[in-house]
Amino acid sequence: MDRPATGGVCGGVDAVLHTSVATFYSNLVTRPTGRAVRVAIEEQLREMTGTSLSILDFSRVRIIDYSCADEVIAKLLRRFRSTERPSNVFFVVKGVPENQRDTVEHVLRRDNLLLVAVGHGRSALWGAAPARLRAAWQCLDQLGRTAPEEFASARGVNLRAASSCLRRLVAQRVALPEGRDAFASLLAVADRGPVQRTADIEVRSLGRAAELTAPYGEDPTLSKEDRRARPGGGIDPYLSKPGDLDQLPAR
Amino acid sequence: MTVVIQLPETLDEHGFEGLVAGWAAAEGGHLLLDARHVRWVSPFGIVGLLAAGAGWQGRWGERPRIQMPENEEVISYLGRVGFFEAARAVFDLPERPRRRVGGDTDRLLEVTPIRSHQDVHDVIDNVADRAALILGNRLEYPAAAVTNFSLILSEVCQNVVEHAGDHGWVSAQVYNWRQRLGRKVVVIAVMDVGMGFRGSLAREHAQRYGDRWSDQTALEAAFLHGVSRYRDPGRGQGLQGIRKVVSRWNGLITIRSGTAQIAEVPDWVEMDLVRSGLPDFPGAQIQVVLPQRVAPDGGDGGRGDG
Repeated sequence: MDRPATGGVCGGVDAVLHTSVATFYSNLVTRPTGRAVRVAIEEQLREMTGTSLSILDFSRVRIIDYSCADEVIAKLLRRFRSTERPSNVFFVVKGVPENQRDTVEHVLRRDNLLLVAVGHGRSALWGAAPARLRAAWQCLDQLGRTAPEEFASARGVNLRAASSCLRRLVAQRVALPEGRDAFASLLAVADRGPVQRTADIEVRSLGRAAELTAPYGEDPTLSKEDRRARPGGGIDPYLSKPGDLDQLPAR
Repeated sequence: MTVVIQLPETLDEHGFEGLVAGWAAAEGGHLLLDARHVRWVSPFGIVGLLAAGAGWQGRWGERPRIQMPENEEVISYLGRVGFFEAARAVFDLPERPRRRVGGDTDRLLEVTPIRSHQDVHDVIDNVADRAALILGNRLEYPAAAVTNFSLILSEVCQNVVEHAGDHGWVSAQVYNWRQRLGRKVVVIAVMDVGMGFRGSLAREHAQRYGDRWSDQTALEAAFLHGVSRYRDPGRGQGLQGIRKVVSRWNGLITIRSGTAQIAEVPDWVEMDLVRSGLPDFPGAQIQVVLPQRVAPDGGDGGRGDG
């Protein structure tokens, strides 16, 4: 990822985690698989402290369907955009083929999510951003790292408008604050982050119990007794506790 | 009492409606599907036979029988697409299933049972290379379209696993619709005999609709508005997504469930967007037709159509 100069060390982030996403299958399809990938990513992120940038690399994935785009990408963005996010993680996706962009954008638009995508040394803002916000992001992407004064000058707006734009980009998780008076594009941080870590996620097969119940969410038509009577019954489909991980598709 | 349903010569989506009319009107007993006069069968017709058989067994507890087509070409084709293996689990077949033989170069996807997400993975992985060869090389679809084919396949198959509450089947084939369209088309058919859209959505959404709740409103809710049976806000995007993709491809998608059908209709076919009052049939029956790419000059991309 060759980027313009960033103007020095990015002090706003404590670590950058590169994660190569793949499954035993060459295609990232079905909700159970997507959920297994997301939970694996969340497990990795649990080890991150402070502010961090997670680069999700989909280069090894041929096809990603709507279900997986939602389970992996949209759900991660939703969770970490929330004020109740488990940690201060920002996300960039890498290696999603251009012909899969529509699929990812479809799920992003549903919840007004924005995402920075990187490919062939270029970055793009995916999702339904208003024109002014998109232009602000492009300006920041060019500058790499900037202060509101510089950004205001580059955009031709006053200082207040510039600060507001930058804060909105941060709120959408597509820009990073650095200290009190500086902001950085996620790509600039990716290139210059202080601690670089790499990890692989490979979902190998689907656990039978997960196939039978967990992937589909709680079936509202079943009573508690019915749920217990089903194979693998009683499994909470939306897991939040680490102890429940053994019910998920095996990694 | 034996109920005999005579199948038409052409067993496609129209022929399937005739089959369903007889199926829905019957009041139990032994079912015999008389396919002796069938001379042409589409993926929709093939998986429709399986759905009719499985649906009968689910409804009346009787394993139906089927009289095979007399036309040798049809029999040979059914063998090549793996119909007999699937039929063995549904029908009371008098003879051993015929072995599948190869050689059909336009066969995209044999009749494949869909019971789990694992099956969806297998379908997508198995079909990817063949799709690239047939759609990309022979029909000159762009790479993005080949990807979209797998995407559509994945979502319609997952629909069976996640919403039917029962198993289903999928099949896909390339045809030359010289008279109908003057082009080749890819046809995907997916069916199940589960609870259908109305049954799947009822618990969460029927109350809001009150007296208006029906197969038609359930289909509209899912297909047009992305409504799902699950409370998870990310659900319900698959059908909407493939509707968009099929529309951009100038393709046709129809979803029949219960007594209604809804469609995304391209300009090359005349069809009602919504139909209701159809003979009742369990589950959901989906067909997607994706026409060959047409070059801007009106040609077929610089190659012959046949």
